[in-house]
This record gives sequence, structure tokens and C-alpha cells, in this order.
Amino acid sequence: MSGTHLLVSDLDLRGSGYMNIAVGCALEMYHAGKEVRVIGIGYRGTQHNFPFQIIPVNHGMWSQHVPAMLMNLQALGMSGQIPEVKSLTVALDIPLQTYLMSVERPPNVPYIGIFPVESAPLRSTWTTQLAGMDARLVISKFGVEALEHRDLSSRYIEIGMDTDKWRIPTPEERTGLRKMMGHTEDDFVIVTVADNQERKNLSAAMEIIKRLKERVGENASITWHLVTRPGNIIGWDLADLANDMGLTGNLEMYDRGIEFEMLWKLVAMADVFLLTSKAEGLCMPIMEAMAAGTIVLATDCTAIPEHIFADPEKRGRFSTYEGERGFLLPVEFVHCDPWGNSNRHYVDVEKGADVLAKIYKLWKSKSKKLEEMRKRARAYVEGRHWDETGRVLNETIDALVANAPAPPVIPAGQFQQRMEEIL
Amino acid sequence: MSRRKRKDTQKASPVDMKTSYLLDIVLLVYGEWGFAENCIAALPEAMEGYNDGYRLTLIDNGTPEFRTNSGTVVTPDEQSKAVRAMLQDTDRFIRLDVNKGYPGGMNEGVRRARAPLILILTPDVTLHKGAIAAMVKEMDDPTVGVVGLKLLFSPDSPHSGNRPGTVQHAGLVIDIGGNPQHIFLGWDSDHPKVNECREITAVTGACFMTRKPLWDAIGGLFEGYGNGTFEDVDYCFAVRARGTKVIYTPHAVGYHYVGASIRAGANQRGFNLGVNGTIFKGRWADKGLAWDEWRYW
Repeated sequence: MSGTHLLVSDLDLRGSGYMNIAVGCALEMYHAGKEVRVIGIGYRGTQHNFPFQIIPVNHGMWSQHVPAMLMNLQALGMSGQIPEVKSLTVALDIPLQTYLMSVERPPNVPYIGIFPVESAPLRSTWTTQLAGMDARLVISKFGVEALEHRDLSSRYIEIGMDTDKWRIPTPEERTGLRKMMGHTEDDFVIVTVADNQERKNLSAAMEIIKRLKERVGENASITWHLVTRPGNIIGWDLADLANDMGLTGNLEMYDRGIEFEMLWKLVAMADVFLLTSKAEGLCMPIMEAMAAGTIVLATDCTAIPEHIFADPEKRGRFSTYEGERGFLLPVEFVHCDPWGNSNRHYVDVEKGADVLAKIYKLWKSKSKKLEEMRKRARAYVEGRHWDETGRVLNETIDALVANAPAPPVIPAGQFQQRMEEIL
Repeated sequence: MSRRKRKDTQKASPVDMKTSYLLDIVLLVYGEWGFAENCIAALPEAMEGYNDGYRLTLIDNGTPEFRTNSGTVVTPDEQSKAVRAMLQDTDRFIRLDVNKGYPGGMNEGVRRARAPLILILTPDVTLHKGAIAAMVKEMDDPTVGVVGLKLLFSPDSPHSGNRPGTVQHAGLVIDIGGNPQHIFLGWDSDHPKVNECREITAVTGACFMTRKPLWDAIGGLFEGYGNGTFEDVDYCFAVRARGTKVIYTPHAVGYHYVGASIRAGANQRGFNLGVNGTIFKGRWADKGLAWDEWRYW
């Protein structure tokens, strides 16, 4: 299909929640024969080997620069300096999407939104704004349901996983990784990969680990590897918090900018991946942990249960926290948060520690149950193919482009005037 | 001027030669004498494959005396002694009594040039083998007004945070804010995108080759930028405004010890990036300044 297809997303190649989604979608568009130009918010011009262009956008200037780039690229297409812009796909959180939707575009350029729904209910204003998209592709089944409750149609787009990159180590490799990190097979190793911000509720994770120590005895060797942003000024002072809870000797912290190889090592050698988030729109870190063969324990909320249970509806909500593919942390209470007026789910740290203690006992007894769970979790993520992501995305784009109205005809000599009208 | 016997098989240069040599090299130094030694020492190998003669003019841009920790005063003459000893009979050393900033100092040097081609050079650049010949080759195309080269972070660059041997310069483009930006900064030297010879928006003033008649027609570097920054991009815009091209060639390579030319503690006014950026945009806003990085990434 000739023409330029634009994709806007958060593309900080040091690691952002959207990076994998954006790169995966752009690759699928490229492999479908589309000329793709990616506008990368947070991309700093660092080297990449993708077969498509990424234009850098300073994170702090995105609200000015992205609309300007979109307008310029559309004008370049209309003037023939680049192939005409045929579609605009935006993979970002809802508030950023609603902002970009206000950027004028020709009627023949459909807007395809790819987004998570972090929590329900969906705010009324957002519902109205999202209705203006030509297509809504939601990255969780939970999100599709949330939109349905607001009478908004959408399509589920399953985000793929690179399970070659996120592989299970061999037993010898795993032993070697643990030894490298100073662990023996008798050490219970917990890993968390989460930003140091309120939604990730890291203080609750500390509370749970503190209570685990009380339950299993002070002699138990427990280490928590936390990949986060320790210096985030709006986050917790994690070192102080650990000290206050008596966890300083149990905690190893890493900045989220670590190389992928190191990140994989930390996750793959751990016994449990712990996540105490209050809401998640997809939760890629859980899937990465499953792919690396690590047992997952995460909050029973929003998009998380659909990773843990083969069929969350049949589970008997709130009655069991052990799924086919991992474990859930019970929620103590739900609070309406100022962000999007949406619900935030606060884990029950006592009951959460009970679940973690259960996992500890299964681990200590080398239970086959955990091994079976790891296999099912791995099979689940292996079943998430980027081919399927690409199929849904390209089908959506192609259908919209095929049915798009004709591009505006600008009479000769009036291009400048028309651009001034648009701008 | 250095002469090499012209071989019968050599093609005549298409330029109108006023001198018996094709190239004037203007090297501007302000206190970085150690770097200048390395820069000059690298020239013979950089000349490999080039046989049309050159003259080096070294401009001391008002280097002040300095006092050592023990209180000894080192005069400008003493500071430049070792470098002056490296110069050939045909080379020139010119000392300016006051610092004229980068644009002013370079203009002083080029004013004294006579050859058809000029190589603008700063002491923090060491050219690799064959760099000169590769740049001269691009100038064989009469539509080319400026040639810039591939510069890499040196193995011992004082500019921390960048891997040695990776790209420091592969051309300058204009971002959405109207600001010049380095493209492919930090990329591997052998990346395919880095190794395309291409027409580009601008090149760095650390080292580029241009034509003397074109330089004179433009009026050299705009001295309204004071001590410097933006004058190289400004010159490239002026070159393009005259219908001639600015070319980046990856076939000429050098190391760039980034920041060495801005001598720490030197007695000079700072480089006012903010003011110069505004001056630059004001000069070119209605004469071709446009977002163009979309062409290159």
C-alpha cells in the first residue's frame, strides 16, 4: 500500500512500557509493506537497526513538537516531498491520545489508537474523546470490557512477546547466574521490575516481604532484587524505607536503565516475580517473567488476572488466588484516584504475605506444582505472537484507508494558503 | 608551499588554480598547543593520496600568557615554541594580539589564503589516513561548496559519556525547534546509515573544506556570533543559499577531541548558545531554515 504510515509512541530505547509495543507494531507494519515513519517520544537518536525511521522527540517538549511534526509531515505528503500520509497510529496512554487527537489532520487520514485501560470505570470525558478515534485497539481484554461498559466499541489487540529474547535459562545457567549474584539454591530470591511511583505501590511490596520474613523465620535467606528508579523525586526514598522495615540487608536496588542482558539475568534467576501495582493496563513485566520461567505473584486487579488465569470469569473472583499461570495478591480496598477518576487497588499486605509464604513453602519443598505452573506460563506467553498483533493492526489500518474519503484537492497556487488555514 | 611532482596520469583539477598548490589549511589555535602538535603530526598521513600541494597557516588567536603553580610566567611564544618547530618552511605562523573568537580568528586566517580550496581545521581534530584526498575528491564536483567528514570520539576524548571510536559528527540537521542537531551521534562508525555519502544541511566547523572564491563571496564566517557557535551552520546555509551543496563524506575520517578547543579557565567570554541560536534563527527564518531531520533518520 503506497503512502506514509505514521506511528507515534513513547520510544525511550533505554526501556519504557511502550517501547516493545511501538517497535513490535512498527515492525509488523513494515513487514506488511507499509512505509513507516515513527515519531519517538523520548527517543534520543541512539543507534538502532530497525528497518524504519524513528524521529527523536524530547520528552519534555512532546506536546509542542509532536503536533508540529504531524502537521509538517502531512504538509510534506500533500506537497509530494514524501509519499502522502495515509494513516496515523498512536500508541500512548489515553490522556496523551486525547491531546493528539486535537491535532488537525486531513479527513482521509484515519486515527488509530492503541492504548491500555489502566483501570475502570472509564471516565466520561475520556469516553467521549475516545469515541472520536477511527479505531480503538485495546491491549487487554479488561480494557475492552471497560469500554463496552461505556458503550464504546473496540477491538482487542494482543501484544506479542519476544520469547527468544526472554528465554528460560538452562538449569546449569540458572545456577551460574545465581552464583554470580551471590546466591545459592537455598536462597529465596524475589525480583520486582517497577517504576518508583505511586501506582506501583513499592511500599506494599516491602511490607509483604517484611511479613514473609516474620512468617518463615529470621534464619531464612531472602533477597529482593528491585529494578526501579531509586532517585525518582516523586517516588519513595526506598533505602530509608527498607532501613525502617529492617530490610536493608535483604534489598538490592538497580536503576531501570540497566542493559537488557542484566535485566534478564535478574529476572531469570529469581524464584518469584513480585508486583504490587494498584492498576495495570497490560503489565509486560509479568509476561517477561513468565517467559523467563519465574513464578509470578501480582495484584488481583485490572489487566493482571487475565495473565494469571486461563479464564478469569470461571475463577470465582476473590475466592482463589492461585491460577494456572501464577498467583494473585488479594486486594484490601479500592480507592478512586484523581488520575482519570479511576480505581486504585491496594493489596492486603497480610494476606499477600500469606500467599508469598505459601509460594516459599512450595519452593522449599521443590514442589512439582511450581514447575508445572512455570511450563503453563511459558506456553501462554509463547502463544502471544507478534504476527497476530500485526494482523489486527494492519487489517484495521487497511480497512480504514480503503474506505477513507479522497484526499482534499488543493487548487494550483493555493497550497500555501491552504497550509496557513490548517496551521 | 609543499610541492609534489605532478604525475602525467593525474587529471587536472577543474578549479582555476591561482597558485601552484591547490589547498590552504587554516588551523586556529587558542592555547591548545598539545592538541595542535597532534593535529599537525597527523597531516602527512592525512595527505596520503593527495598530490596537489598545500600550505598550512597557523593562527594563534591571541593566546594569553599563563602562570604555573610555582608562579612562573609562560609567554605565548614559549607556549607555541614546540608547534612552531614542527612547521615547514612554506608554512606560516601568525599571532593575533587579541582573541577574535572562532569566526573572527578563522576569517583572519582565510584572508591570507590564496589557493582555490581551503581546509578549516581546529587543533582538537586529528585527520586519518587519506582524509584530505577524500575531501578534495568531493570538491571535484563544481556544484559542491562545502565538504564535511566523519569524526569519531577519540580513544581518550575529554568528552565523557561517549564510547571511543563512535560517531561524533556525521552531519548536522535541523530539528522541529529549528535547532541544528548532530545526526547519528554515538552510532557505530561502520553503521550503514553513517557511511552514506550524502548532501546534508550543515557540517561542523571543527573541520571542513570549502572554496576560497565562495568563502570570499559569502564574506567568511559571520562574526556576529562573537566567540563562536552557529557560525559553521550559518556558513553552510549561506553556501546552500547560493545554490551550491554541502556534502558529508564518510570516506574522510578523523578523531575529534570534543571540547578541547574550549580551553578550561581560558580568559575568554563564554559561548552564548542561547543568544547565538536566536541570531541564527533570525538570520535564516525566511531564507530556508526548515525542519529537515525527517530526511535523514
